[in-house]
Amino acid sequence: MKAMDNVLRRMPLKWQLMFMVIFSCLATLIIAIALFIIADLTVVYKNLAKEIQVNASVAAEQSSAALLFGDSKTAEDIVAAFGAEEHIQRILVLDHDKKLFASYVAPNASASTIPDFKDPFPDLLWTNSSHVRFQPVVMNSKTIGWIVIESDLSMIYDRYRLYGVLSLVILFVWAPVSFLLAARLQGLISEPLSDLAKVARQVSLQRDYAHRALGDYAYELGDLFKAFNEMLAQIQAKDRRLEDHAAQLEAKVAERTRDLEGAKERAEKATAMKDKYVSLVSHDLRSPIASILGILGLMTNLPEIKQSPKSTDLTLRASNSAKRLLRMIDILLDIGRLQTGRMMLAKERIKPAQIIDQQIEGILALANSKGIVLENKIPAEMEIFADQNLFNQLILNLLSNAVKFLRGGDKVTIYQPRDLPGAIVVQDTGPGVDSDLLPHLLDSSVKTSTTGTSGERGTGLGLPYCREIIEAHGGSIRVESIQGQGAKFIMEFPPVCALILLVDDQPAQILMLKQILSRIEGVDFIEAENGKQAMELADKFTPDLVITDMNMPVMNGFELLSALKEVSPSKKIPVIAASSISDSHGRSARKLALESGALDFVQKPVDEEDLLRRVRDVLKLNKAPGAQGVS
Amino acid sequence: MGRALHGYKVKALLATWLLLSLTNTHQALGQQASTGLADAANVKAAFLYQIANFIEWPPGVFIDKSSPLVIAVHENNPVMNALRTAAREATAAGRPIIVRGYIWPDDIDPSASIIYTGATTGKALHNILSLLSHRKQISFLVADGEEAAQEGAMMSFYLEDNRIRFIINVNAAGAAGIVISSKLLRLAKLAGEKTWEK
Repeated sequence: MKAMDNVLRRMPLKWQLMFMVIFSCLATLIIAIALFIIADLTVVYKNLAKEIQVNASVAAEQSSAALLFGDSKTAEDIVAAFGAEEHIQRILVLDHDKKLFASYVAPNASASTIPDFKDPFPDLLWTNSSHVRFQPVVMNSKTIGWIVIESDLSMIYDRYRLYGVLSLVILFVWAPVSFLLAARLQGLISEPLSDLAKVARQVSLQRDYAHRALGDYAYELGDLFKAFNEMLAQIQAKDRRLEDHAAQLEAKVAERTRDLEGAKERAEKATAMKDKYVSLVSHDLRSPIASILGILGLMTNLPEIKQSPKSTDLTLRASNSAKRLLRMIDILLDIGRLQTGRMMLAKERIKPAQIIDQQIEGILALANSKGIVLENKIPAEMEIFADQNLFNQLILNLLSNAVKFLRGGDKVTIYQPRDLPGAIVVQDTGPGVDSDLLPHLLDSSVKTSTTGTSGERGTGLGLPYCREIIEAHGGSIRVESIQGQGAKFIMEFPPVCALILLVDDQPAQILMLKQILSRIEGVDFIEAENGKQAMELADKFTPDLVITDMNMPVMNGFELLSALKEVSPSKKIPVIAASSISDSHGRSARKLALESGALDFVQKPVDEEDLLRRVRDVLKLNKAPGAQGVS
Repeated sequence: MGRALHGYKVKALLATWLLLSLTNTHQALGQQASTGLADAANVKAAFLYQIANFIEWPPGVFIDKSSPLVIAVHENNPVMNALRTAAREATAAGRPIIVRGYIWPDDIDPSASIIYTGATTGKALHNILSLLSHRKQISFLVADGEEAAQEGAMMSFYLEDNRIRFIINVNAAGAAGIVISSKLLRLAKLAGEKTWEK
């Protein structure tokens, strides 16, 4: 039943209805035929029993004399007369003692089903194939013998055949009639609904809510059509309002865009002008200062200029002021460039310990003269990812700053704190920073310059410059100080887990790869537009991973792969090949790339999650926090 | 003749007693395959009262439904004793049976409904028939031998294939107003009209 329901549900409504009508008719018909057959069979069985009983009674009556006078031959003649009935198989005449007295057996009679009549026997007996009746022969209320009639059920079987034929005839007549009826009746329901469905389809395909379902129906169908049309009308109205809104919105957006574009243009123009102005100014400032310095130098060194001790001192002081001015201009220019992000950082893997040593060496004479001890405790193996020049500036600034404010016997220690492995701390035992000054120490907008312990004069831009450098690297700097107990500059650099070399001749591809891979925390990128450039960068920076396109000018991906394998340090760099070609000359690009030495292969256009998974696998960065939340 | 009959009678009695002690009348009838003298008497005795089941006398022969059936039999005939014995237990069409013997036709009980004369033909039979025609009582006359029925007896026994069968003269019975059931006629050979034979 459930299976039939499922099959029915998958049919068009038209067929469902037809099946329902036909099945209902069929069920009714079958029940009617069955009831008719049962009723008729009851009558047929009764008639057979009655007929046999009548025959038995007549035979008993007729053969009573023969029994009484022992005339078995006549008895046989008598019972043989009943054999005219085809269904009668045999008739036995038993005497008073149930001994066989006379008998009739039909030609072609089937095997007897008469039970042993020595036993007490019933009046009648139905078996699977026969009906047997025992009829006593009574004379003057004495039983003088028995008639036993056995009839087969051919009468009933004939009836069954008749039922079969009749049922078939009824079905043959009924089938076309019910089909026509069902076909005619289903239309009453299915046609309006299929019309409605057609309109609904048109509406959804063409997105045109002006369509209406047409049809004059009453009750449920009428309600459905009315509701459907009303719904369409409502949607149409809403749609129109929406369109109006959208048009208004578009106009507004266009207007705003125009405004913004204007503003942007103006801002860009202003920035460009400012840049131009700053570079002009700085250049123009630098040139005269350079001239002043040159002239001051000449004044000191030219033998024809007579110098008194006073004039020598004045010249030196003028020269120092000019130098400070020049340095200030340079720092200001750098800060400006760092703030606007126009300074390109040449980031690379550097070892701070080494650089700090070099800087200490440069400042050592001054420190010694003041009796200040400088100590570098940064472990030699520590690595950070930074622009080497700027890092030099940073350390130089911090060291000069320390030396400037320390007194004899003070000590400066540079170390890597245990709880912050990526940080570098510059700590001194000096007088510390004035608590009023402390919050503004790193702020370039507030001038905090003070004179050093030996009367040194600074630009007041050193520490703000340090802060700009660190922030440009994505790190941070903070100062802790207690007056009279020294100061502590804590610099944190972002941890660098991996450096990835992206190689592609299409900048858009590189941009996209960077966007995707930025989700992995701590990665940094270097870029190359062909294999040759990539080789140079790999040689210089030894990246942790190379992701390369295969099809590039100058040197393609395959050539890059083999070139990388030839040189010692780059030999171990894992390479992920990326290509939009799926196969070349019948061999898959993946297979070719892997055979050429690539560790993995990604098919372009790249699947974001797939690429991230493969890169993390290669970098063993599965635990990167960026992996959560996004995927 | 009396002595000869006497010896016959003793044998018949003995045989009848033996037979009845073993079987009943129905069995005697049913098993009349081989018929000895004693058996013949028994069978004929049974036939005599069974006939009453298939014969309809004219009204007035019996006073009511329980009136006895009187059967008159020649004293010397072995059937006499066999019938007497059977009559003790049997009934004929629901009536008790009374057996009356006679020597001379005049002695025949006037109330007898069935008269069995034994082998009687010719003048003797004629005498009895003439006697009966003057009587008020209507009797069914049974004799022995095929000729008897042709000569006017209503029914007579004869032997065929060692079985006792009977021949019925429907005209004689009809003349006396006696109706014989077709069931009985079916078992019988018919006398009288030639066309009925065979």
